[in-house]
Amino acid sequence: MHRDDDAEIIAAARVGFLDEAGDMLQQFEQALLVMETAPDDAENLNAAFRAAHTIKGTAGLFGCDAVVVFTHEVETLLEGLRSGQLVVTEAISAALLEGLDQMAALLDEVRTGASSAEVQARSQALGERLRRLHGAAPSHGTAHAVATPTTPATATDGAGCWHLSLRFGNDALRNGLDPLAFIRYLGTLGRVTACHTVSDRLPPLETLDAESCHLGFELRLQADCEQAEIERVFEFAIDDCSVQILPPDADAAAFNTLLALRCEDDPEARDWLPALWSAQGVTWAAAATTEPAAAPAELAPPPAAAAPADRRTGRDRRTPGETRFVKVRADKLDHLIDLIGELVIAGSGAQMVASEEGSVAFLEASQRVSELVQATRDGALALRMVPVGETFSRFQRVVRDTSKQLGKDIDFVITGGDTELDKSMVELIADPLMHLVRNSLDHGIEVPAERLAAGKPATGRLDLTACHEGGAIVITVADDGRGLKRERILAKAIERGLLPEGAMPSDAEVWQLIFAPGFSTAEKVTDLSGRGVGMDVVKRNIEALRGQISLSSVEGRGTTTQIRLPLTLAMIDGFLTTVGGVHYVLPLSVVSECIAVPRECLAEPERSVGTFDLRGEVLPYLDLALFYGAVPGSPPAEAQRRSLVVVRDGAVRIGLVVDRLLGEHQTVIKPLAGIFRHLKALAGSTILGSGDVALVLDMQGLMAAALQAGAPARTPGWAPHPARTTLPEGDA
Amino acid sequence: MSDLAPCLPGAPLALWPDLSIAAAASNRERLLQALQDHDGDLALDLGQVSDFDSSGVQLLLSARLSLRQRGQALQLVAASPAVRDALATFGLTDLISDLRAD
Repeated sequence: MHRDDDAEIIAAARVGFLDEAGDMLQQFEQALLVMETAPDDAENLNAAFRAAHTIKGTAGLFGCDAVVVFTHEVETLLEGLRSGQLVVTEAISAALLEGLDQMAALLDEVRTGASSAEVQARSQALGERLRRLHGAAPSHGTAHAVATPTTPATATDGAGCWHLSLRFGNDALRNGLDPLAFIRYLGTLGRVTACHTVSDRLPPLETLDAESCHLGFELRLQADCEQAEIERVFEFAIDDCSVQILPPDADAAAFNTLLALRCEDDPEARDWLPALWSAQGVTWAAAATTEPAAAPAELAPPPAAAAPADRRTGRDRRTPGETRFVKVRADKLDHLIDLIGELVIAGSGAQMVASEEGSVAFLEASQRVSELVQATRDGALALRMVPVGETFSRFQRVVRDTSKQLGKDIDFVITGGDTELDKSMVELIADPLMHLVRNSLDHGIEVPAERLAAGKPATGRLDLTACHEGGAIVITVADDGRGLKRERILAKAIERGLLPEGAMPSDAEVWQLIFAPGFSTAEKVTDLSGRGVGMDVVKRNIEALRGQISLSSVEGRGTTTQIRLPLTLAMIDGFLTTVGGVHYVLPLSVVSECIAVPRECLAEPERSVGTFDLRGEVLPYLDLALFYGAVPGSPPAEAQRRSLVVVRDGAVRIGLVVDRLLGEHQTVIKPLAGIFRHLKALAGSTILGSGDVALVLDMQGLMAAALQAGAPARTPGWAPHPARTTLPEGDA
Repeated sequence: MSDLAPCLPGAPLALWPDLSIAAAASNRERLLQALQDHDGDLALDLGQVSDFDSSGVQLLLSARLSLRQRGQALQLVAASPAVRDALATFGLTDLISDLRAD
């Protein structure tokens, strides 16, 4: 156990344990929340109990005593609920939820290796509270408890004494099972009042194989628990240990059976074992008075014999869920995705060679290969996809806690939780989403009295919705609270110089102000409107994921925030174009149509931005060559072949004037290094089959630039995106 | 491990720091050697033991058995907290009953 490779194995197993414990905590939380609404759901209580018990069990194996001791208290209270001794009360469910947090904190300490006195103190205090709740059973519970036959009413301290007889097999130590650990662990179930080490099989040193185990134990455990709980302690050791458990009310016959089993034909043991039991306080009629030889055949099978079967069925029940998933390390998956990214690039290289060679057979073959590569890419990306619902359900707790705290009554509705999103994205959107949910809870939804006065139902509603739309996922947070006060925001924006005096921005533009940095810290607006706290940070986070955020609100009716995110960050289907000899890639999903450059653009070839008429609709356009400062005066022949790509992002459409259209291209997005950060509207780069570098365009940046340049006529000097106010020409 | 070999008669044999399954075989060799080297009682110093598990307990019990078979006794002259704790858990307090509770 102290060799390096063993330490490595243990470290790896520990990571697995922490991972699993995280999952279990989540299940536990889910079950506790369900418990609040359905306190009588026995299956749910069992689920909560199972989760807590699994955490305790595995924590015990890894020697995380703090976790074991505390979780035991939680488990005891749950057991009280499960057995009907206690009924679910608000105090109990609140304490259990706090217990859950504490378990998470303790597991965190295991993860980091730190340990703080504060956490320890909280364990103590909370443990006591849980114990008190268990002790102070309501009258209904007490009546129940008396009726339960399993509750021992013998000893003065209320708990009966179990008798455990253990004989460890030769290989126990080699298999990493330390009897010491088991007996210590029993101490978490109750109190080991007596323990005797049986070493009658132990050879003298001369013939001892020091790695074989020859130990056995007779011990008394004072514990108020089910037999199954004790059996579970030895679940892992079932092959290496003969375990016999006699309940507190076991009669002489049971002990006689045990005696027959343990002594077999060793007359000496027949003498000392009963003596030992008597010394341990077993009240037991002497074996001599009965007929020991007849005992084994007549008596019911010893309890432990039945136990393995139970356990096996228990395991079978879980099997379907366990085998449906394979846990894979995230970095392995990332590596695979990287390789496939390279494969995509190499594949398009091969295809290019094929078309240069002009060999039909080669072209067909490479076409087939690239189709497969594409399918592989999609499959690999799908591996990273996880349902967003897991993140959503985390908010349930927040909603519950916050609404209790604020005295609000809130109906939290999750829709589309099975919508899938790249795993790395799921993690990254959790915080911004939390922010939006909290905003709705804290400031959006009113207290019941206020709602009733406004003619709304007392119970507020918070909707969290996810769905796929094109190549994007759309997540919506909607509340039916008090909404935003448009005039307030407008007045504040003018006061802060974000808008010129007398500006008449559209509603959408007003709501967009919420996301402006600097606006967020305006105390008055925050108090009155209740929005804007750190919304610029939310926006920045979302934009870092190539996503967009928009907000709309009706005063007195509620606020809706919508986040659009691309499905993945790593690879996209791109649309390849060239501008001034440089390749540019647009996400294919945003391309709505390609047309010849309209007259309006040709009329003013010096303008980088302007507007054109698309079937009666006026749209802004951006000439990419001028926008990126490409060498002016391209040959006229080239100019003739220029095109305009109409791109759509949400409801907004703009035109992009490019030199040539090259068509669809599988694009592996590589991030741009820090020194290129200042470049306008670029999301990254990619490598073409030819080895050339193409730049991936950032739609939002382009749209902002086009709209901004189109806006001055209406609201001179006003920049809706202060971060992007510096416009083109000069600095490229 | 220790520079006490060969042991002078009566000098306690110090086993440390590992009295767990990982070092069980080599510890057994050392105990056996000590038993063969002198024919009196065997004194063990376990004051520096940091790793102690059931295999260590088993070694002590086995050594005691060997000693008893030739009419001698095993004495612990020192025991680390890890040793004390394990022996107490196993109900083997008689092994450490002679020790001062330091």
